[in-house]
Amino acid sequence: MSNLLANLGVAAGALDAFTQVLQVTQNNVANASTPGYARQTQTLNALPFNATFGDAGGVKAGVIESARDEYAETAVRQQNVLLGAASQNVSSLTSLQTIFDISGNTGIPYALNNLLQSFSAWGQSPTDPNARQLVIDRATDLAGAFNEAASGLGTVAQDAEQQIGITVTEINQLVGQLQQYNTQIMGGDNNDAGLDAQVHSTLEQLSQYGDIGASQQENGSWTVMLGQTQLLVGAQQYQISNDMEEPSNPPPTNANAPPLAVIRGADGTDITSTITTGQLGALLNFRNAVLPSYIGDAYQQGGLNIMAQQLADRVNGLLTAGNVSDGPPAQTGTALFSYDQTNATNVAQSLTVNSATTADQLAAIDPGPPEVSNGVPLALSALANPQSAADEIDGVSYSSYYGNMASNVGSLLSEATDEQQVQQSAVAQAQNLRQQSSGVDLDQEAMTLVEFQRAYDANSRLISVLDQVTEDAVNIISVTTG
Amino acid sequence: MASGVIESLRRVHRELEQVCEMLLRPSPEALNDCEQRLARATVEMEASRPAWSEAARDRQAGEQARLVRHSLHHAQRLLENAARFHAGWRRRRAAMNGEYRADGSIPDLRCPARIFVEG
Repeated sequence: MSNLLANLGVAAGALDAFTQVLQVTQNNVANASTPGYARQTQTLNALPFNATFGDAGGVKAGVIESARDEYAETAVRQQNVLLGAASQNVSSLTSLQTIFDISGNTGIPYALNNLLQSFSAWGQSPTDPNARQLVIDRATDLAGAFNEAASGLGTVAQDAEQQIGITVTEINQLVGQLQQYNTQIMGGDNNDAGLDAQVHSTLEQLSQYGDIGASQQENGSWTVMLGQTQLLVGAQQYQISNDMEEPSNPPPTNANAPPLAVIRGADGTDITSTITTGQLGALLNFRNAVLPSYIGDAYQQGGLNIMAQQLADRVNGLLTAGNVSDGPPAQTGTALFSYDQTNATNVAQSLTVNSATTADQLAAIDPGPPEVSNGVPLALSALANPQSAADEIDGVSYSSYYGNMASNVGSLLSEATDEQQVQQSAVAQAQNLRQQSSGVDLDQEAMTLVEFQRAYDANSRLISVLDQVTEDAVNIISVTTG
Repeated sequence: MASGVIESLRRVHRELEQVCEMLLRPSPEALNDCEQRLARATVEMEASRPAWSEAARDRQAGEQARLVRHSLHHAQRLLENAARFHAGWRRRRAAMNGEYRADGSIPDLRCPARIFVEG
């Protein structure tokens, strides 16, 4: 009778154990699509069996093991950081490209071409009031095109600043969620699979914004870093903030220049230079390095301002050196353009045609000697195909200078788009590798790893060969395709 | 003649796109397949090399060559990432179990500067 009861006990214990296995399996199935969830396994432990001493044997449920592997999780987060940066670069550069039209049908290149053509037409009829008025009208159009481009860049800069603020807020919010999870974990929910899934899902979201480091402490809580900056330790969150600031060291060379974006740690320390990747790193690079190369900052004038100023100065210089009439006394010409002389980074934005300038004030006569009745418009029309350094900007014509700026934006966008595509695959690959490596048998894995090593070496050698061959192909085939 | 080069470059591009696709889920079998495809791509490129100069003024050929190069760099990045992942995984495994197998035997894979106990 006692044996029968013992056997029934064993059977009941086994049923309990298998019920727990079933529950864990059901939980795995239910959470198959839950972000951050890792498969769990219910371990089973055999109980002592010895009929002589009355040990009835059986089985009991052991600990629940998670298939999560932090190494694979980190690998996914590392690829996410790079994808965040690549996606942000595509977004930022796309907005920038809309301002730089390279078709020549709108904006600065169109207006510049029209102005140069009006100089040429004026050269053919130097005394024609209509030709002179056309020059003034075309110059007004060009000044307007510079204003529009500068305003557009200003809007792009403001958007980037807003986006930086939104990103900082999102980072703080996600770290705030992690801080709440830490509080729950430290309160005793250390083995909660649902909480573990939420932590990892949040860390994965957070990783798109920057170089996020996460490590689990002995009490189960998570410490989170952004580069070298602490964001979360136990229940303590350290919020970051953003600001716009005029740099002071070294002293600015451009007064009243646009400020730069700054990120600060919780103690107010400037951590901007430590954030170089992820969405936030890409935004900072765009706002503090890419945009200033066009609109300027405390230390550089910016390509668009340089072009506007040099063009205005050259046109004004030629016009004021000429004469409107022979005289006596000879009447000198008037400057066509004016701009803000107090702020080198505001030239394109402030460029205008003097409202008091009239057609009869434009000087066509080059006093020489020898005097040339249409010398000034001829010199102005030479800006289209410069023959001297005075008519060039940075060694090229004004049209080419603008074209180089625009094509640089196009190249950057093309590279960023390629990088985004590659990085999307890299994230998908890391996610697949995470899935493959979760809960693998390390003993079985040893031989597979040897196979992997051999295969990687073989593939790498072939890639190296192909790299050389395809480079030759591009060089030979593309060299004359232009 | 440019059409022949373009078609050849298209075939190479297709092979490399397949390599990228397979590298998304790298396994020893998938990598073997990648190796064969990369070898085929190399042979195809070398075979078309004599005709490249004749396609030098062809914009379509230039674009196709650029696509091939982009796909190759894509594949290269995926291969490097996966190799780095498995190299790290291998180091981690070695650190966890000292390279011993579950039955106590020593693995074929020997790490330099590591003492193994046999017998």
